[in-house]
Amino acid sequence: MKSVGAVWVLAVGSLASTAFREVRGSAIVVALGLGVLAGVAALLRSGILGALAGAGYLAAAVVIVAGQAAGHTWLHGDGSTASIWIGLGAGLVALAPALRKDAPQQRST
Amino acid sequence: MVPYAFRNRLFSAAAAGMEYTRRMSVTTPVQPRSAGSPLATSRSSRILVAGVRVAAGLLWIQNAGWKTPPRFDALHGWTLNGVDHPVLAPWAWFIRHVVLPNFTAFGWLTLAVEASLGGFLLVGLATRFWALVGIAQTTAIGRTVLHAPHEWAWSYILMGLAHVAIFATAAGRWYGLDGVLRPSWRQVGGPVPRLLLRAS
Repeated sequence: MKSVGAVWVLAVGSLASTAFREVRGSAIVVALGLGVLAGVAALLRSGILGALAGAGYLAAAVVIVAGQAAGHTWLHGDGSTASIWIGLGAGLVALAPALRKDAPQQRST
Repeated sequence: MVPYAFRNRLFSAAAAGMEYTRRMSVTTPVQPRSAGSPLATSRSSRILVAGVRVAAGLLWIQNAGWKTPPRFDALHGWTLNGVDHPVLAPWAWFIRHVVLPNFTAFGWLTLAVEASLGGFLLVGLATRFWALVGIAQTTAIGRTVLHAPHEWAWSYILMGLAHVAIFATAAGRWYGLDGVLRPSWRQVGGPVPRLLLRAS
């Protein structure tokens, strides 16, 4: 049950991160979208959705710094945005297996 | 040769001794060493420790923001301090002959380390490992800019000590993901969970 609560915290944290100036422009869409996906993962106790949301954050972090290096703004943000998303992404990926274990067992009839 | 009757008495005495030991181990609660520590008994202490961890994470998050690829100009300017205002001669030599000629790779490494430090400390995952990385990175920064104009040496000492405190208190176990995941890592076993248990 604790892992479900932790995923909820990360989901809410992602939504709340849009209040900071480090998460701006198109990064807000990513934070909101992946935050909602993490929330759905917690609601359904789906490890796969949790891992997907986590992988999404990590990929978005890479896209931000790769865009900076290439001189393009594929996603708004900087190293700080990437740092927040590395934390959220790694956290969700780490929680995903525990989330699956926390899922209520289906009763066989 | 031990007489038969004496040997029997010896066996029954040993059995009684083992039974006594077994009962004692079941009925006598063993006080954990941490039972009286503030972290075990005080919620506010746990919140404060988590607060230190999150604050250290925010420090690195903010500072990852000005390491801008591909040229890392601002970081390059700061790194030159290690040569212009040397703190330790071998470190200044290392910066001049190893870091500066390969600055792009060094910049990427710095960004990766500091962005990861911020993220992992913020959520409290593998916290003790990242606290050690934080100590190492703080040492490297201090050795580079400590003698630069307008620098306050204690800021880097305090920064390092914050990470020492995070390591010493295993700060990710309180309101962090380490605390949530350690029981399942312990249950699952295997090399990766064992590694994460050590890192947390």
